[in-house]
Amino acid sequence: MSYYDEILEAKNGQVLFLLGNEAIARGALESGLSTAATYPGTPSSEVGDLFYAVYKKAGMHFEYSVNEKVALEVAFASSSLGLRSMVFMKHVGMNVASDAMMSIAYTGTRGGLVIMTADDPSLHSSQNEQDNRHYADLSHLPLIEPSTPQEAKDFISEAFDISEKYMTPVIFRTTTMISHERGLVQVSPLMEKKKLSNFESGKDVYNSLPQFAFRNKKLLEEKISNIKAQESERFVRVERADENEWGAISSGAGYAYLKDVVSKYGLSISILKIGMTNPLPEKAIINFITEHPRIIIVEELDPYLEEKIRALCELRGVDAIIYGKMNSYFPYDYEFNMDIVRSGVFKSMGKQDPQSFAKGTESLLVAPRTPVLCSGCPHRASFFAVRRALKLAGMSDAKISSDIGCYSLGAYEPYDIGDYMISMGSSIGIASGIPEAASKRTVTFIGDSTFFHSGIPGLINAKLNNAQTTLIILDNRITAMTGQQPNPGSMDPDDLDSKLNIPIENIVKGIGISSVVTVDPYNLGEMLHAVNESFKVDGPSVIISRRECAILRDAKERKAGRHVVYMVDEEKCSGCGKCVEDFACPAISFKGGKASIDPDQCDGCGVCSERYVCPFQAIEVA
Amino acid sequence: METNILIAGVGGQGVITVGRLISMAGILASHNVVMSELHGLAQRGGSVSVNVRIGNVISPIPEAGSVDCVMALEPMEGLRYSPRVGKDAVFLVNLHPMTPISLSMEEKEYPPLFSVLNEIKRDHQVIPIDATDIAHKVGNVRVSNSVLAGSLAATEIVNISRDDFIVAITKMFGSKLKDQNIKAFDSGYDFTMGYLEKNHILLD
Ligand code: SF4
Ligand code: SF4
Repeated sequence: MSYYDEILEAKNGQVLFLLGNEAIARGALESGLSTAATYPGTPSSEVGDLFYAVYKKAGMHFEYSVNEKVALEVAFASSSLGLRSMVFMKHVGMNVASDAMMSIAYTGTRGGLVIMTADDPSLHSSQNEQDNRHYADLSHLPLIEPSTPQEAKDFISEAFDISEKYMTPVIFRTTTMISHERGLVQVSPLMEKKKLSNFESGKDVYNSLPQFAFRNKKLLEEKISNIKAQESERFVRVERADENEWGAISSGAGYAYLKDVVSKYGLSISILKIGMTNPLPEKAIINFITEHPRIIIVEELDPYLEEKIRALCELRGVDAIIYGKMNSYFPYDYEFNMDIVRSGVFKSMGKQDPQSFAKGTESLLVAPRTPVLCSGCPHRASFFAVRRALKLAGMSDAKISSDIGCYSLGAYEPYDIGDYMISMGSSIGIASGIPEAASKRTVTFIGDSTFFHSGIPGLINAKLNNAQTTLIILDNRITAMTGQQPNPGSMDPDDLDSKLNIPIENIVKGIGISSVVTVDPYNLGEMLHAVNESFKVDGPSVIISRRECAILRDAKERKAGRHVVYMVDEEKCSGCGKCVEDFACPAISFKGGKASIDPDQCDGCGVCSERYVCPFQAIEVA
Repeated sequence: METNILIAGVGGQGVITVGRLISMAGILASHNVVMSELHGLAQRGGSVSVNVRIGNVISPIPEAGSVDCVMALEPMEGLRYSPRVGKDAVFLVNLHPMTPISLSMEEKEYPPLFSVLNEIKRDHQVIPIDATDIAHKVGNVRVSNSVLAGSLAATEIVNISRDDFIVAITKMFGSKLKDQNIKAFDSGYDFTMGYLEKNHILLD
């Protein structure tokens, strides 16, 4: 049985070692989930990895939607018909989905609808560290936050129950730490799925016409105040210390660090742990603060709890001394850890920080090792060809607009690809706005999945503006960065020619762009030629650089028992260093003044053996 | 009591797999275990680390200075963590170097292996093992992490029996890979036992 099948088939009471995201998926299955939709994004992707592996067996609908907004619309439609549904995404995906979410909040739902957002403090895999708890305020929706994988599973079931009871979507928020922490989780039985229940058409139920929305706003307010009165307090846990002087209020990942610090140092601090952060359990908070005159608030990112708790104290006339971010006991930025929390707690208590550990200085022998494109990655070949073509055309200073995916790594040396990289699909929109006076021609990069997600409107705009850009669609046949998910251009990674695929060529031509060619980037000569030709076009010109992701190809080659590696012929290698300086495949390094290929790392793509990379043709099949 | 293992390596080397293996063995030995993982962009060939915490703890990342063992899948990655952990941390270091692109691009070479090890040794007990070479001998370079797991078991830094490790390997890997991984584990175990004896190293 596969790993994911085991999770699906685990029996009541069994204890599994699950990733937070896997616990969430299991929790949703236990809640009788009928429909799940997502657009992959770290740190939320593994929820979908599990569903993708088991959805047929689980008898549910699962899809990688074209983007987060559509994913939410799909889940909402299913919920409107009484089925339990879920949509999940990374924090910035919520920005895309929010347009629909703000209105769905008003119309309400029927079958439980859970909207999961995975925030990314410290920006491990993201372009910002927005705190999505604010979306709960903006949309007037309830928000639940777990602190451990076990809670992640248990709270999901609660989220579905609450959603259904109050006919409102529930936001479920994790952070990287919770989503990517593995811990012991005891599972519960799988619940029966809800039956489809139709509603009467011709009524205004799910219609956001101003007149209906005007009325729904009141209903929304009622729902949230009922949830405040009846649900929020249930998610509270008070852990009492021997003394009543100090209390700490926390939620999410902050709680885990706080708890470890309090037990490790034997601190006499009572803890109020909050599981529903909107609406806040005001009664529990006021009681706790009344009992504990000194309150420490431990939360990552924005002072979301702190601002509300300070306002609440003011409103209720409760005197408390509060230690938090707003008076500089804790930082506003980045992920917390035990050290940050310990130091904040001790500082609040006016005690000397007991930890004396100080980092030493890094050895001079240590070189930076930032993430790089895999060996054999087709993007490397595309970047190399474009850089070279630009140089040959005397256009090295052309503005380059890139997008989100593995190819974002092109921003590093030696490719230097990405003067702009803002948000999903933004590359083409930006290119369509760069005036010719600034860059006679621009080069734009977008991945296949990102193109479908939100690149198409940008391309239409580029066509309308007759933007002087060469758009290179890096079609590696997969959504690679988030862990190899399918996308509309390749619906089945095992069958790249699947009939279900939507050909990118047709879309581009349909927009009316006639200059479009498809090239295999491994063939550097052809790629160079295509890029060169595209520079002569007036208006947008599209090159589809199509070659499957090296990880995908590698897996297939190995399965087929094929695996070639390349090596450097020391006699022929002049030591010019071009292959490492300009091409920079991680399998090639320098030893004794000559290039050398590590056979364990070489992927066998053969691109380095082409004369454009090695002018001496010193690289050949081993 | 808590035991904290930090696994340091290069994205793609399998830091998560070895972390899960140690965790599974820990669970079989009736410990509570939490582990931090890394996914997404961070996984692509950069410097990565995973923490395994065994004991009564909740958060998956230990306090600075409280790591008991650094398992370095690559020597320079071991050295990178050397100043970031307390002096009691024991280093298990795979001797197979991977040159970072930042060096290659400047046509610089990987520093001499003995210098890298010596720098770690200045502050820490180091147990070197050529796990990649041993894995090659077992017939599959991908099992090098099980060699290191065997080495960890031999040091007794974690309170997990050899049998529990073997059961964990059996559970985690398919039938064909299972045998190679057990062989790799045993080789790592035996090598490290020999190394500890030969050098009269007593770990507490
Ligand atoms: S995962 Fe695929 S697309 Fe991403 S860097 Fe590796 S080879 Fe390139
Ligand atoms: S063939 Fe050359 S470019 Fe391709 S992976 Fe091997 S060393 Fe790198």
